[in-house]
Amino acid sequence: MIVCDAVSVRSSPEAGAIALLDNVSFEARQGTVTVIRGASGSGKSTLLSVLACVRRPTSGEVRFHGKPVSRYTAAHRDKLRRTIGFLPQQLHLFDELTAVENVSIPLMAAGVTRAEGAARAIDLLRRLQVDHASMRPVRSLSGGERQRVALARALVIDAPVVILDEPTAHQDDDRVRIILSVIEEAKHHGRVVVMAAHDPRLDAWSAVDQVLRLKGGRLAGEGG
Amino acid sequence: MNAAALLALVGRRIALRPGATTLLTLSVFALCFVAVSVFLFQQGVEQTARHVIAAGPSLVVSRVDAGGWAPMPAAEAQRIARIRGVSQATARVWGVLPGPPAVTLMGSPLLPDGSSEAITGTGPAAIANHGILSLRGLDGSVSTFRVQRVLDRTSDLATHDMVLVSMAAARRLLLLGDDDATDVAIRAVQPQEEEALAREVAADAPWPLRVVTRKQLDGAYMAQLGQRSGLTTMTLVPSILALALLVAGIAAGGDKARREVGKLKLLGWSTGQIATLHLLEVAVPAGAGTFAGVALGYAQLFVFGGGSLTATVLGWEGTAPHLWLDSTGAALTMVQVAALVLAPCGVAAAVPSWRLAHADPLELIEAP
Repeated sequence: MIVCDAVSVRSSPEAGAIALLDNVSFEARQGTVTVIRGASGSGKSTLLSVLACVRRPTSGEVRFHGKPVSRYTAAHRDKLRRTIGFLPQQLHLFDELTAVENVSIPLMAAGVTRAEGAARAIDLLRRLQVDHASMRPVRSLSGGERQRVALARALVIDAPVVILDEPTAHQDDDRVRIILSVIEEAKHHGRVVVMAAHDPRLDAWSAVDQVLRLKGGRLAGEGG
Repeated sequence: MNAAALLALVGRRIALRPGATTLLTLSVFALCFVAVSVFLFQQGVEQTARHVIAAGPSLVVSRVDAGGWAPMPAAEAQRIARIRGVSQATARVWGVLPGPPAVTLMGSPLLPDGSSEAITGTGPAAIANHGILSLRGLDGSVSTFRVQRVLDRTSDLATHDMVLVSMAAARRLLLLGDDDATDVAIRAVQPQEEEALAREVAADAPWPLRVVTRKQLDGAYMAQLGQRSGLTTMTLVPSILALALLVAGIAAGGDKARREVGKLKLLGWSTGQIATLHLLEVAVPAGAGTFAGVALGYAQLFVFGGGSLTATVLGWEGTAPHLWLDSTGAALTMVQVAALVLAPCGVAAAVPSWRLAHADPLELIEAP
């Protein structure tokens, strides 16, 4: 279970800095999907980066299964990130490497062999319908293909926590259905899924357990 | 982390920057080649020189006057031979002919007076025209000699530029009188009494003498060699530092590399794993360059005989002398050179990535 307890993030430590997140609290349980909604600049991506242990909150605390991970040392957080599947908004792919290589990189940190890593990567790329580009450098792929490669990279490690920033952006309806089915599968495997989305096609998605609305960095409402 | 997977990624990333990889490999290769050549050459010359000096005379006595060296009567050898503690005293006739070709000329009792034959070292033998060697005496006159035989290459360090001719021919070319000698070579009965014998020889002489002991000769030779080799070695230090800077530049890699470290951290790579990746990215091309440089440096001394390096370090001209090297010492030297070059490379590669990898991923990815 993820607990976000009064988390605030300021743009800098100095007085007068802008509040990117202001006193945000919520819980996300195992086997659930939490969707964070909000306009651009509302703090969705900042909140996800805090949950993915990529950014430390200025105040407040994030706990995974009761452990205060936001206070962990840098080395501990490095190790912890191996248990978090993260799709950042900017994707952060290695442009010169192929799709398979990009998806395999998090597996390497976990000690998975090259052959097994490649097999798992190709399987996930096939399911996300981007296997035709497996051996191509990701810089040569379209925006939608890159998005799915990055999603495959987030899901390939079978992490108990999955943090996704706009996973359905740049995708057509058929691809959105495929992506949502893969995310739903992760939910059924007991993972905690937290994702930011302002895609209206997700409104009717039945797998969503909790919706959080952010406005100006503050939690403006919750729903199920 | 799985080693095969890591090495595959290292290989891919190296292949993606051929320019930097080639530059690094060539720099390391050149540095190792020069360093191994210099150090092995120094070692070879030292060993050979010590052997040659040990086999030579205990003392060398020459006459000096206000103008410096002066010829001495060959009969002086008989006087010195009577001194207690001297087992043998030989009057020698030798000198340097500036040429061309520049040679060390020596009179030899093996060749009878009137003979027009010469025994030569490998240097003059190489420039003899169909076995005929032309030498220009100190008065400018040219004499020709037929090369009877060439001295063994094992004594090359001492005899490389040497030409042995009859005593009479040597005196004629060096403008010495019929009974003159250049110096007297002395063998002592007891090697440990060389210093005492030197004082005794000088004390009884009818004119001022300069006496050089084997120990002094050895010291002078090693000092000269050490000075030349030291200067060459010193030029390697800035090269190694420059190489370390090059490696640090490649490892740090600017903004792109910062972002890449951030991405790897984002995906759960630890500081140690990132440092290992960067270290291997430098170690693979640097290792290849080191291996090639060390191997070729070794080969050029053992197989090709030193080449132009001898001219740089010892000031010889023409063909290089054949060197004999101690294989155990040579192996140790090669390991030392490899370590000397690879250690700064390793530090330069690991430290910047270690520093970067300690930061939070977002700090690195979002850095301007």
